[in-house]
Amino acid sequence: MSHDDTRDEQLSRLYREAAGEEPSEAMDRAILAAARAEAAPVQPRKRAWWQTWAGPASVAATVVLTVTLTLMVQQEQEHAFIEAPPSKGEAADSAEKPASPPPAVKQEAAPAPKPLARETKAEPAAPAGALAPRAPMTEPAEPAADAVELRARSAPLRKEAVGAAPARTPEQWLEDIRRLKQQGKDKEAAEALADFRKAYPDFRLPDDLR
Amino acid sequence: MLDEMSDEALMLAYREGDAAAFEALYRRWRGRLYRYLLRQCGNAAQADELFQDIWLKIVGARRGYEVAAKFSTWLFRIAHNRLIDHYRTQGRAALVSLVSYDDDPADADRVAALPAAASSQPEAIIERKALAHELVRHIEALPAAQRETFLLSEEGELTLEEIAAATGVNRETAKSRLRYAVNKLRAALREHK
Repeated sequence: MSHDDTRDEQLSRLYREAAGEEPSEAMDRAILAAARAEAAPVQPRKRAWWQTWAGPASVAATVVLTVTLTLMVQQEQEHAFIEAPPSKGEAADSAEKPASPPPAVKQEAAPAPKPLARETKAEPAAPAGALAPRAPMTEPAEPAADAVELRARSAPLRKEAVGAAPARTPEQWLEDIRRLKQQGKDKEAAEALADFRKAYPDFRLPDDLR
Repeated sequence: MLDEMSDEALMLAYREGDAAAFEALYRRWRGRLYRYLLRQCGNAAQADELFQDIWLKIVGARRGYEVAAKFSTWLFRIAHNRLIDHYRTQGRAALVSLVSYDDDPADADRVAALPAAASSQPEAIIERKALAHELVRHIEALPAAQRETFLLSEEGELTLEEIAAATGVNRETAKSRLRYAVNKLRAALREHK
């Protein structure tokens, strides 16, 4: 220490004899604790079990909910097609208009035998709730053909809802075709069968009409 | 092993997470810094508060510590700045006294004018311990800037250059202050002998 003339060793010695004040032990402890805490390695915070599983559980719940809702909506739509009765307007409309069978049958309407004419006439008079497709629906369906028949049955309903065409069940239509064949009108029967196939591509034809 | 390490090496070790290195460093400087603050404040409670603040600053600066100067210069530089903040809250007079470059010779009169605390006990004055305490009273009566320079020299064991760096003045100013302080204290002690 070279303070030249600014240094007085006697003064320094005397000062050190008097200078004995020190901070308290409590102060020492507080500062050293703070220093240790600052130097301590940062521990990764341990997460509670529910925090660990919260993410995966919420994803799983979302997936289950989405799938459930999708299935429910699909089922609801199918039921709506099958069970929804036509509105009053549609029923009245079908009552006012003359029966208009599908084109293939229309061609046959003039020479058609009486039963067919009777059937087509009788249809509009039927009450809205007793629409033709209802009857087959109550029949026990063949287990293997459940889906096909369901679609086949719902098809005429959809047609009626849109175009107010007189309802004729596939079975009735096939019966008409069968009758044509019995009368020897093979060409007309073949054309009607082709129309039927167009209208109900998934319908399982009886063996005698294949 | 820690006792043999320099202050700077200890602080670097603390930067790397060695809390024991900090403790060694703290033990080296705790008394010196505390007395520097106590003499400057004249109040133990305020000295405690400043002392804690300064060490917590050191602790907080751990991660960014680089050896840019001697540890003691850095420590007392922080202490000096903290004192200025303290004086600002206390009032302008104390602040002006600390940062003033005015080394008025009339200051010597303030030291000389101190009452002889032990004058009623002439025998005790002879005792060295009493004389030492008298010296402390005279130190506390010095102008703040001179007192600080003296304390940095005695407690901090800083050179003139380091005192200048710690207090933000040039070397000549530091030297002038120290010379004034030492001369006043010599004179005051001569009067008591």
